[in-house]
Amino acid sequence: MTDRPQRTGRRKPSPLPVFVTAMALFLVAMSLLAYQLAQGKDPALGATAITSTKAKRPVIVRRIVKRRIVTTVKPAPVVAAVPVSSGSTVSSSASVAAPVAAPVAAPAPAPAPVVTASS
Amino acid sequence: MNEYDITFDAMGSEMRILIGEPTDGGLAPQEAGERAREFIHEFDRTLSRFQPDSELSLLNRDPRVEVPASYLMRSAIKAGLWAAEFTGGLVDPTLVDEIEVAGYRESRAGMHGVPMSDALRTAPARHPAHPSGSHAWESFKVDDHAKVVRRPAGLKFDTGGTGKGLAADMIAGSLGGYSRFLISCGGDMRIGGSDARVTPYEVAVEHPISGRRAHVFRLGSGGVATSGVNVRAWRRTDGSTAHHLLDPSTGEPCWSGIVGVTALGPNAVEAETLAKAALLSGPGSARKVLEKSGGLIVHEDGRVELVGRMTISTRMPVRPASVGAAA
Repeated sequence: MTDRPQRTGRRKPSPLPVFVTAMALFLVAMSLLAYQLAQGKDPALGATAITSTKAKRPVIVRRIVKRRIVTTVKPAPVVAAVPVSSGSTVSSSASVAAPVAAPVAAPAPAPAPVVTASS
Repeated sequence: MNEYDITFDAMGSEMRILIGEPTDGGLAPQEAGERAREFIHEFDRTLSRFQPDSELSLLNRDPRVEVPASYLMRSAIKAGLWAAEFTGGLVDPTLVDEIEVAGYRESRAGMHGVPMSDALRTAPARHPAHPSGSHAWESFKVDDHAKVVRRPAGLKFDTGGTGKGLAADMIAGSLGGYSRFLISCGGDMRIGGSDARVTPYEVAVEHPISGRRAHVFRLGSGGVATSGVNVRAWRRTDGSTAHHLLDPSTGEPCWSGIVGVTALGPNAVEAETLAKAALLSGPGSARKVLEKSGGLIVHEDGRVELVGRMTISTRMPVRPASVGAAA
């Protein structure tokens, strides 16, 4: 018969505290992960998301600007009519009053419409 | 959009040139426009029937069968012959004696015409024109290699039927490198340029009776021309009214029932030819003449008839013209 060597000073821990401690650590870890997922910070996707953001091409927004020039012609204080050099292609004759005083700076006249007529 | 825009008188009519920006580093629009103006004056000096020393007048007086001719002269005769062939002789360029007998011997630039109401009231019975039986225009031959024109001595040629359109087309040939352009020679126009398709020109048609706007075409390329009996009309000594569009079969002014036609075409010469042919054909056939490219017919009662696919615009005002005033 062989004698077992006797253990010295150590005692096997009780299973209940071990189980409770393990469960507590597990629940804490799970709670932490659940919280992170709820915040949208999935640790499994975090690295990929950063990579895709860096690779994303910048979006160029093209803005089309239409300029509309509205010209308001104010009646000139000078009495005489100033003949306009750019006439319409429609033949017409008009007597023009003799010019008096200096010509008033006026906005450039709109180009005459292009007209086709028998000639 | 910046465009060079110049208006001046030539060929007894009003000319207008619009040229946009160069796209290939060519001449400035102003310089191109001035060159175009010089060309039109040169064209007029060479081909005017009313200037006795013009090359055309000299040709018509030349007793030789074979006559040396400049490039411009040959081009003008070829355009007139093309128009005659294209219309089966309806647009006949050899009616010089007939038009002079009718009373059109000198330029009518600046002269007053006849009010349309009076002209229509005194006009003879309406009937469409027909080609002449002789087809004399077929006798004209142009030899570019020898640089001569051959025709029976005494047979005269009038470039007036296609001259303005040809001038517009020839100028257009040098303006391919501009964003857009419009050349109007007395209302016979040629339009072109890469931007003109995106931003077309609005071309208003003057009503030959009221002088008001009859229609507006939006054109990005090609030609447009108007022919009518409201200008270049005059009172004859017998009290009747004559105008410059003759019936080749009679040699007399044609009263077809149509007073004005505006035609579209791939170029100004074709548009001008179509407009004349449609007017001479009368109301029964004018629509068919214009069917391919489109256009507009104004009947004696003032009714406006559109032919083809058009875009109507009513945005552009047109000043009323004095009815019957000759250009």
